[in-house]
Amino acid sequence: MSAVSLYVSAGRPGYVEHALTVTGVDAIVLDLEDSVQDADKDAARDLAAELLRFYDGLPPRLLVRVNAPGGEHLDADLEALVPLGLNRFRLPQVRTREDLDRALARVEALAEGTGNAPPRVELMIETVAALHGLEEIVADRPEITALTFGGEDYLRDSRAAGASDDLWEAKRALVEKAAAVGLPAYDTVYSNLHDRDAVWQDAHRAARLGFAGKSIIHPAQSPVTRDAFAAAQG
Amino acid sequence: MTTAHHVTAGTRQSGDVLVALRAHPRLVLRVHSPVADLVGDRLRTLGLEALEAAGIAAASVEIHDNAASEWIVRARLRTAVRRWHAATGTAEAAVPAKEEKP
Repeated sequence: MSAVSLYVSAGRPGYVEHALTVTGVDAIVLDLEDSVQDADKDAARDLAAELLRFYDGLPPRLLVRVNAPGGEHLDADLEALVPLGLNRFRLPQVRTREDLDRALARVEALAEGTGNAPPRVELMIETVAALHGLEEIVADRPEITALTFGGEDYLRDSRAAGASDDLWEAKRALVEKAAAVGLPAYDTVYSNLHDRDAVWQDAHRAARLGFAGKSIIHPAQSPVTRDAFAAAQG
Repeated sequence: MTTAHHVTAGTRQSGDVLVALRAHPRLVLRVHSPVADLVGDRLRTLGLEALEAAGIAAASVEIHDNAASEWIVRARLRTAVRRWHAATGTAEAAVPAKEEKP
């Protein structure tokens, strides 16, 4: 059993509408972070808010990748969206337990009186610090339902820290740590859209390593990714 | 995009709508859509509602639709009027967390 999640930018409403109808993916991740430039964060947030108003909450399968802790955008995302029913989200760039606690405290305060279900958070592991401190970050936090690897950001961070830039080494460590804390781990995206064998090989290697699923950036990657996971998991 | 007294929100891409506001002594609203005969009146109503709710009584407003759904139009209008208030230094009207659907 694998979980395939499709990223779609909140800066591209036509794509968002299409993504909501795509079959063969388990989750759709409406992205407010990397795919949206700073000057358009407000517009992307408005788009997410109107989507939640239209559906009177989160549509099925949808979760939102909000912006990173520590910047100016996360609070604005949560203030706009939690009162409208946001309770499933992907939280990027968490480095410490304090980052997580602060974000969840804000969600809890904003959700008060809304009737929202308790938050379900997919924590993105994108830094050396988060990978090393994973056990402490997620301890006694039942809101965390999965760990997702952010490959590009991890690579940037590890190079800046002078650590190993072997992504597969980091992925192996994440899978092992995720198993130790009882959470599924999902692999990062693979940006190749034109080479079926390369997409399959990347997904197959992730599945063999122990990832429970993978993020994708285009619906066409879904059947190949599913096929690779099925082959690896027997 | 925002310059002095000229703001936009959205794009002309398929499934999107571009809303542009410019300084003007009175309120002028123009709607452009490849399916204007079908959606023009509705787009005009949404535009006027958004402008009235935001307290904007004088501006030249262009809505360039490219087959956007209503929730997308509402989002782009909301962004455009907020940017207009920021550009003109006028007060932004409070937006309720949840609104009645039409």
